[in-house]
Amino acid sequence: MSTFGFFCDTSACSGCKTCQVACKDKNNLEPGIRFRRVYEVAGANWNKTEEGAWEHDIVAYNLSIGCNHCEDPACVKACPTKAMHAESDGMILVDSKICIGCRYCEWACPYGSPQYNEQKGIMQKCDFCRDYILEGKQPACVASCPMRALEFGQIGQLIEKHGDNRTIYPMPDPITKPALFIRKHPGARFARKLNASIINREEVRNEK
Amino acid sequence: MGKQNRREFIRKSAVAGGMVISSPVWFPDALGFNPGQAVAPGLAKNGWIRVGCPAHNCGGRCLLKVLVDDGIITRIETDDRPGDTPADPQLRACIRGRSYRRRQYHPDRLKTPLVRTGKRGEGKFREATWDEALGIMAAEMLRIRSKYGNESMFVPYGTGSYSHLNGRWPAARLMNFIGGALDYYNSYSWACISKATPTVYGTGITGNQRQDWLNSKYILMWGWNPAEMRDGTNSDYFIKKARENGARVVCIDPRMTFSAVSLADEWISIRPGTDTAMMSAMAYVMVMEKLYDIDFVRTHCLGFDSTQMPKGLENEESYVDYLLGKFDGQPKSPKWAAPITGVPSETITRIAREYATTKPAMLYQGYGMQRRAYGEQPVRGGCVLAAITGNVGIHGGWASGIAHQPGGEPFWSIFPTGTNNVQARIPTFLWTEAIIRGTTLTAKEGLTGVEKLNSNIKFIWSVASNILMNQHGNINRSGRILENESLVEFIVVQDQFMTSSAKYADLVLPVCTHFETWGLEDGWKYGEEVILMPQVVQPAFQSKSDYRICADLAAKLGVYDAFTEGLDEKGWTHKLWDQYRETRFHNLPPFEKFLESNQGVYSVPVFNPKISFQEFRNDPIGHPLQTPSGKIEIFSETLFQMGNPNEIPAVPKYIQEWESPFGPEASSYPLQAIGPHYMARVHSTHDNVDWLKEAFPQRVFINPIDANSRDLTDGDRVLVFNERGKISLPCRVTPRIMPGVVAVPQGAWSMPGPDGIDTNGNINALSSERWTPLAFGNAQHTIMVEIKKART
Amino acid sequence: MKSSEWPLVIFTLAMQLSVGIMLIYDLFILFPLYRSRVALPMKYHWILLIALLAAIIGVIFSFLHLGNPANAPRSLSNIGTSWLSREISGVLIYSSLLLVTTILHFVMPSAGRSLKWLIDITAVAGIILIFIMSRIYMIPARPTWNTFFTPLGFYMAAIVMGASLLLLFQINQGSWASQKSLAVLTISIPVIQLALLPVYMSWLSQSGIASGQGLTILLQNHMIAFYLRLILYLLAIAFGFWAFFSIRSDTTQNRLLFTPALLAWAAILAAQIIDRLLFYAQNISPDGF
Repeated sequence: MSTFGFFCDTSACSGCKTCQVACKDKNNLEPGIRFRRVYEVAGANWNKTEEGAWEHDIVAYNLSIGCNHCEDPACVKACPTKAMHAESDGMILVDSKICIGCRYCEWACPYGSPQYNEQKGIMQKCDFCRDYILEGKQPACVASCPMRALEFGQIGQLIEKHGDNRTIYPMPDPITKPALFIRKHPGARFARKLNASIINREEVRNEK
Repeated sequence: MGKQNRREFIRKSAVAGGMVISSPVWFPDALGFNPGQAVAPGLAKNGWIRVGCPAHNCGGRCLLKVLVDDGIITRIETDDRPGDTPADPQLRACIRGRSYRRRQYHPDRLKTPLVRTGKRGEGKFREATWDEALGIMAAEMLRIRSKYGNESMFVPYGTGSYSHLNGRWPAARLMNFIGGALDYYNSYSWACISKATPTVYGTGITGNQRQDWLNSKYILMWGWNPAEMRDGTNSDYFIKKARENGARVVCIDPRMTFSAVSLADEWISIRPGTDTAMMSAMAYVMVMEKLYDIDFVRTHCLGFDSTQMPKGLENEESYVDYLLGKFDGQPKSPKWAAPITGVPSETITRIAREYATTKPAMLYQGYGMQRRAYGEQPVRGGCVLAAITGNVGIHGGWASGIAHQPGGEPFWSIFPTGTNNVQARIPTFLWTEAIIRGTTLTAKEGLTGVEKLNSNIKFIWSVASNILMNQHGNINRSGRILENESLVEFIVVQDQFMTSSAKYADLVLPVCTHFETWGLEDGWKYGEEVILMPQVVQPAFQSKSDYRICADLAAKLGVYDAFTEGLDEKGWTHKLWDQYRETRFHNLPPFEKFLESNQGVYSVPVFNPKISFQEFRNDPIGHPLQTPSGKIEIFSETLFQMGNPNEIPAVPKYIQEWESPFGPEASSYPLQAIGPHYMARVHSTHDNVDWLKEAFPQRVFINPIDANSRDLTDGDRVLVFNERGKISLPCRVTPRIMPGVVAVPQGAWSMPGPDGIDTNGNINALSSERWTPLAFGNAQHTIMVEIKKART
Repeated sequence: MKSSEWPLVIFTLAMQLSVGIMLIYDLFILFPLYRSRVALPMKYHWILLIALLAAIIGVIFSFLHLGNPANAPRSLSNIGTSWLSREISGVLIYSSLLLVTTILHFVMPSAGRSLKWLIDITAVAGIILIFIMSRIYMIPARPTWNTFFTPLGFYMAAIVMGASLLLLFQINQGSWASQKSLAVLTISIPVIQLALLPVYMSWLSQSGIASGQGLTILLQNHMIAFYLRLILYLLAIAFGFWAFFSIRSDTTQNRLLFTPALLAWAAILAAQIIDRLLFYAQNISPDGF
C-alpha cells in the first residue's frame, strides 16, 4: 500500500519539461533515459469556413509522469527477481544489485516508467527522490516546476486536496491504482471524441 | 557524488564507451575540466552555492543553487526560498537553466585561442597562445584603424551573455578607449515595438508591474508566449494566478503555443502578419456598436475620428475614417478581416465585444508579430485598442506597446562603456549593408549621427553573438559577404563554442561560462531584484572571461589601466553592486556581506504594483504624455509628415506584406514560415545541449492538412525551401499550428552540407535581409516557403 | 530487418522448435511405431539430440537478452507472481527432462522402447512451457499481445517447425503414413496461419488505439516483412503439397521427397522468423505511454 503520490495539474502544465531535466540532473541520466516524461496530447478537426477562415475544435494538454508508485504495481508482479519491489512505505524501487535487465517491467508498466540503462544493463526509475524526502525536501521535479503544477505528498492529503482522480485521456484504466492524482485540463473531456493522441512520441520514448 | 565515485564512473563509462555510449562521457574530470581549484572567496569550496542562472538573452532571470564538489558542479537546483507568494515569487529556472551542466561541461568547449588556417568560413584553425592571438588582434585593429578609421570598426549586436561585465559591453568599452567604433541602435528583438510604441504614447514605459495582472478580468495574449520564451521569470505563473482570480484568457497566435495550452481558455488561430487586420476589425465592431470608451477617447486621445484631428490636418484620414473605409471605400469589418486573418468574423466580433466590455482588460502583445514586414503596424494597432477601450492607466488594464516597467525598470547593463567618439550609428539589422555599401548609406537607411560614413565595415569583433552566420536574415547571403576577405578584413569571434559564426572568424577567442567568472543580473524587463553571480568554478581550459580578454587586449593596446581602473571581475561586480545600492535598491546589503550570506538574490516584494499612465489618466492636461500633442496619438502627425502613407500610415493599418499568401509568390511558396522561440534554446544558445535536444528536437511544425497534401507523416525528414535557401529537418505533424503556416524554431546552428542544404534546420537560410520601413527593423518572420519530402 | 529483440526471437523459436520436435516425434512417429510394435531404430535418438540442441541454443540466447546476466539465478525468486520467473523455471524443467531423456536414450540404446514415458513427460512439459511463454506476453500494458492469438501462434509455430523438420528426417526411413501425416501438418499449419491473418488483423483494427497502431506497424512500417511472410506461407504450402505428392509407398526410396521437404522446411523456418520479428514489432504500449 503506497503512502506517497504525485499530483499533476494538467490544466496548468505548459509542457516545458523542466521537471524532466531537473530529474535528469538529480539522477545523472544520459539522453534516452527519462525517469520523468511529458506527454503531449492533441487532437482537432480543422475546417475552412465559407468566408475563407479556419475553424477548429482543438484540444491539447500535457501530462507529466514520473513513476506512479502504484498501489497494485504491475512491474513488481512481473519482475522475476524481486529487484522491482515495494518498500514498506509503498515506494516502488529497483534494487540494482539484483536486477537482471530483462526489461519485463518495462513491458508490464502501463505508464512507461521503468527505464532501461544500456550502459549498466539494468532498469532504473523514479524513486520519488527518496533521499530528498528523507531530508524533508521536495522531489527535484516538483521543486522545479515553473508553473507550480506538480505536487508531492501523502496520498490521503493529495486526495483530500485534489480529489481521487487517477486518470486522464488517453491513460489506461487505473487498474494498477497509480498514486498519481490529476487535475484534468478542461479540454480533456473532448479528447476521446476528437480521437486525440500523444503526438510527441519520439520525445517520450526511444523509438526502436 | 564524491570524487571517488566520479572517477570510478569515468572508468566505467570509458569501458562502456566502446560499445554503446551515444553521448560524450558524462563526468567533466575525464574531459580535462579543472577540478580541485578554489572557488569564490567567501564561499565554501564544496556544497551548495546560490548563483544567478547564466544570463543569455531569454526573458528570464532566475536563481540557481549549484552543488560544487571539488571544483566541479555536480548538481543544479533552483530557487527554494520559502514563501513563494505572487508578491515575491521564487525565481524558478526553466529547462535551459536546469540542463546547464551539459553545456558547462560540454566536450566541445573552446579550449585555446584559434587562428584561421583555411579559407574564411571553411572552419579550419590552428591553436595559438593568448599572447600570440591577442598580438595578432591588436596589430590588425591598429592597422585597420589607421587605414580606414574608427568608423570601419564594429562590435555587432550580441546577446549571448548578459551579466553586466560579460558580453559585448567590455569590448565596446575597450573600443571607446582607442577612438570608438561604429555603433548601432535598436535590436533584433523589438526594433519595431521600441520605435512604434512612443509614436502612440511618447514613451516605452507603458506596462504595469506584473502583480497587477492579478487584477485583470480579461487577458488577450496576442502573439505572446511567456511560457515558452520566458518573457520574464514567472510571467506565465502570474497569468495562471490571474486566471485563478477569475480572468478569462484568450490567446491569439498562429500556433497553439505552450502558453495557449496552459494559460488560455481559448486559442484563436490567426494568419501571421495579419494582426492589424483583426485589430482593425475589432475596432470597427467597437465603433459600430459604440463599445469603446467614448469619454476616455475624447479626453485622452488624438485622431480617433475627424472631430479630433490635429490642426491643419482636419481633412486627413482619421482612425474611424480608416475603419469605415471613408477614403479607400473598404470598411474594415469582421467580414473583410476574416479571409485575411483566417479568423471567422463571428469570432472577431465576439472577441471585440469581450475585450471592450470586460473591465479591466489587458491586451499583451508579443514581439514576434513585430519582427515582420510592417511590424510597426500591429504595435500601434494594439496600443490603439488598449486606448480606445480605456484600459490605460488603471489597475488590471494594460496600455500595450513595449511595456517597460514604471518606477525604475531593470538596468540591463550598467557596465560603463565610456564615450564613443564615433557619432555614426546604424540600425542593428543593417550591418551587412554597412559592409557592402557603408559609405553610401544615408538617413534613408536609418544612418544617424553623421550624414555619411567614411568607410565600410572592415573590422568585426563579435562578442557573445551569433549574428554573423546564424541569427541574421538570409545567412546564405551573409556567408557570401563574410567569406570575401576584401570586404571585412578581420573578424574576431569571442565565444564558448565553435558556433556557425565562429567558423567565419579569422580569430576565435575562448570565453569562460558565467559559472567561471563574476557577474550580476537583474530582472531583464520585469522584476524587483538583483542576483549575484559569484564565480563558482575555475575557467575551463584556457578560456577567460570577456572582461579579462578585453583587459589583456587593452594591455597590448596600451590602455590597460584606463580600461580596468585597477579592478578585476570581482572588483567590477562589487562596484556595480554598489551602484545598485546607490540608485535602485537602497536596502541592498553590502556586497561582501551578501556574498557571505550565500543568499543569491535580493528581491523586493511587490504588494502594490505600479502602473503606467496613472497620473495622465487622472489629469491628462496637467500630466500630458511626451507625444507632440501630449495625448495618446492614434493619429501621429510625426508619421504623417514622413510622407510615406503606404508603408508608414499615420493611423495603424493592415498592409499586405511583401511576401504573403495573397501575393504572386504564394504560387511557388504557398506556406508562411515563422521562427518562434523554442524551449530548447535561447536564440542560438544551448543548441548543442543533448538534454535539451532530447526534450525538444528541432522540427518543422506543420498542420495535418498541409502534411497530407504533401504526403508527409510525422517524423519524415523534409526539405523546407524558397529561393534564398533550403533546410532539411524532420517534421512534426501537429494540429497545434494553423493550416498554411509552418514553424521552424529559430536559433538552430547552421550546418550546411556540401550541397548547401542546411541539415540542422536554421530558418535563417530561408529568411530575408529586408528591413521594416519605419524602424529599420528585422522582418525575419515574413517569409514564404514550400515543403516536400527530403530524399533520404 | 531491424529489431532489438533478436535474442528473444531466437530464444522463443528455438524453444518452440525443440518442443515441437518432441511433440511431433511423440505423437506422429513414436506412437504409430509403438502401436505397430516395430523396433525403435537407433537413428531416432538423433531427433532427441536435435531437440536438445535447439533447447540449448534457446537457453543461450535467453541470456543474451539480459542486460545483467550475472544475476540470472535470482530470476527464479518470484514464481509466485512473475510469469517470467515461471517461464525460466519451465525452461529449466523442460530442458532438464530433455537432457535426461536424451542421455538415457544414448546410454541405454536398447531401453528405448521402455523410455517412452519420459518422452511423454518431456512433451507435456513442453506444452506447458509454451503456455507459460505465451502468458508472459499476455499483459494489459501490451494489448496487441494480450490475446488468444499469442498462445495460438506459439503452438502453431512449434507444431509446424517440428513437423517440417521431422519430415526431412523421415526421408528414407519413416513410414508412408507418418510421412503423409507430417506433410499434411506442414501444409495445414501455414494454411491455418494464413486464414487467421485476416481474423487477427480485423481484431487489431477493432480493439482500441494501441492495437490500431499495431496494424499500422504491420502494414506500413514493416510492409515488406509482412508481404514476405505471406509469400513464404504460400511457398511453404506449395512445397508442402509438392512434398506430399512426392511421397512414394516405398519409403526407403523417396529421393524425390528431399527437395520439396527441404524447401518447405526452409520456407517455414523463414516464415516463422519473420512472424516472430513482426510479433516483437508489435511491442506497443497502450495509447503511447
